[in-house]
Amino acid sequence: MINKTIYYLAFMLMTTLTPAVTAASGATEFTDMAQQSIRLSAPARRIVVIPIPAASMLIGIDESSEKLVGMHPFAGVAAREGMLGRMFPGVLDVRSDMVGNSFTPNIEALLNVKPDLVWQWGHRGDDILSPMRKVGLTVATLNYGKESDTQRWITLMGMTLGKAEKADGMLHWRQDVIHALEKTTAAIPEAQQPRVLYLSHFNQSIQTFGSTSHNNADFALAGGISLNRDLTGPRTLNIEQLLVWDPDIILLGNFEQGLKPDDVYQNPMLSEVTAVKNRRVYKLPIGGFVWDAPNHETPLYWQWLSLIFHPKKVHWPLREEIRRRYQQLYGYNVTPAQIDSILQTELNRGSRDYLKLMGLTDE
Amino acid sequence: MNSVKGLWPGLISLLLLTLLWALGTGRYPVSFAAVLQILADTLTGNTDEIMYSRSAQNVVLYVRLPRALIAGLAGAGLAVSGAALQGIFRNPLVGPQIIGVSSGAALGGALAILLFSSLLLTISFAFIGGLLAIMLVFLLGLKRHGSPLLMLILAGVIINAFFAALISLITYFADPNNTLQSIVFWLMGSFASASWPKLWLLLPVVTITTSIIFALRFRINVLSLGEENALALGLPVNTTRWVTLLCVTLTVSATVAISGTIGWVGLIVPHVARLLAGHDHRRLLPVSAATGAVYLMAVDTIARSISNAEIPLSVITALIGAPVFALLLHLLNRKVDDL
Repeated sequence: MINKTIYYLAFMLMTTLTPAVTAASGATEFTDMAQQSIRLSAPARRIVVIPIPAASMLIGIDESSEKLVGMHPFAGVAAREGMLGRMFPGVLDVRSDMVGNSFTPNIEALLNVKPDLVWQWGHRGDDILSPMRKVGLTVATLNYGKESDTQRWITLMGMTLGKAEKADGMLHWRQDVIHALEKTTAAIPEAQQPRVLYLSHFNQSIQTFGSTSHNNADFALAGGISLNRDLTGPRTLNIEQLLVWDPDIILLGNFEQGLKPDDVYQNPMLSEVTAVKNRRVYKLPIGGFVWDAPNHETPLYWQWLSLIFHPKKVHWPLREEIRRRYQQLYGYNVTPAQIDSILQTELNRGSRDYLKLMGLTDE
Repeated sequence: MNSVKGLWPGLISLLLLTLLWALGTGRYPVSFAAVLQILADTLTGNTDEIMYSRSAQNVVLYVRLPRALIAGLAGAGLAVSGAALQGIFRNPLVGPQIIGVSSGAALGGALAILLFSSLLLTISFAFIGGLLAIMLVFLLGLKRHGSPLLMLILAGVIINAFFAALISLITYFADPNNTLQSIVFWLMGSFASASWPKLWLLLPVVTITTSIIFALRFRINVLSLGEENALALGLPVNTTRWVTLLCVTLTVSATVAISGTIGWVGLIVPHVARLLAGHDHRRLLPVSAATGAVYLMAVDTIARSISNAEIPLSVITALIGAPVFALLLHLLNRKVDDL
């Protein structure tokens, strides 16, 4: 009788626990962006993210840096310089010495951190993928180029982190902002749109990213004309080309350390340029990642752009939106001072209507 | 070999015409008449009844003029350096890049771009890199046994290879979103950031070093006949060689510091100048200077004008240089066949 009872209890225990174990193991199967089928027998707990913007996305979706065990060295730089390191100080200890600037991984360094999943670029050829697969690492790919690619990153990250619901919420927000802008700023006739020039570097040499970046699509959505839309890839410009284009607005990226609107305002060669005369030179914000590149905060960037491009037509409460979305994206209560830091308020203080547009003054 | 008749008036006219073309050509529309008016008004100090825009004036005086002058000066300096090196090494394939100076300067500049964001430091590091390279060449090439000439060239090849590897290492570690493009573009050469202060940095260096090389023209002539002949004539061979090398180092370092690495000019232009002026360095050096100035000014005008974005100079100098060099080889072969 006792034996029977024990067997019964053992059977009950097994039948009760087995689904729980399966659920905890959370086997996942998904198709990456190179159309490869990837199977994870358990949720990934040690993840390396080589594509630069995707590391902050992973931390955001997971609201923790615990699962990130490796990233690109410059994702580490961005984390130190932006909000990510302040929100998740653990990210500052994540190793970033296992990949070079060509995104070629050091296989032995990668094996040392024992990842159960490695995210890598899928559009840069097989040479940066197959060496990892040959040593038995599970590698999934991300592609770069279009907004639909970035949305797929969010879906895939959510799926592999067991945060599909959160990823869905992020995608809905993204779609909502896109639809709102398509109806408003993107619908403004071209003749009424400002001509905008994005500069990644200015002081040592004048550089921009052309159509291979997200600039053109971002500016079009926010109702601006990207002046460098016919260039492909990163290009160096001469000052005459700036005078010929005569942009209404100049946007300065976050890729040159210390670059600020005053550098452009104080250049005597540009004194006749419309953007300089009207003081419409702005430094791009930097949040959990630089807003120049596509990432999970991009809807905030689109809203910021639309305010800069059409200050009289668009009225988003951007500060409140940032506070709300940081709670949604990171589970983090961002302070007013941190919002100022994200919006680069100090550097943009002297640019036209910036404080008013960013909700700091009424005038 | 005799020089071409009417060479100097022709070269000076060509130089002036190229300068005028450079001043009147660019992305921003400024007519040649306006260019002449701007220059005349600047020289006379006239500020009344100005018929051109402030931007046009800025473009001509602060963008194109310093840039054209720097390009001309760099072209002259590199060509004279190449002619002098080919003379003292008695080798038509030697150029400033073969003795390691360009790589040294390029390494210094690339390192400065990677570590700092300061133009002044980039220039200083490039200069120090060039000097370091020639010091290493000097140490490796010190004559002990065998041909000192061969030792110097081999030392240059070694230093070149070593520094090139270090440059590759720097580009490998450079941030692809930040410094990498600056380094790559700088390594391919450009006058995109030319300015009057840069001209004032380059001018004294190139003027002094090319003057010293020109003062050595007789000695270079003798050296180009062979070391034994030079020694027999009582020429201080090593002193001449090292003074020339030092001058070339200073010229190339200063040029690389201002504009990045520009290939082919020091190799090709002396050959063209030799066709025009013969082998006598008394004529060859100044003709190389004028030809180099015209060549680089023209190349830079093309590089900054034909598209919205700047085209790296080395791309154009190589695209023009390689076929020109092939043509020169063909002409040389024909001449040998005719003998």
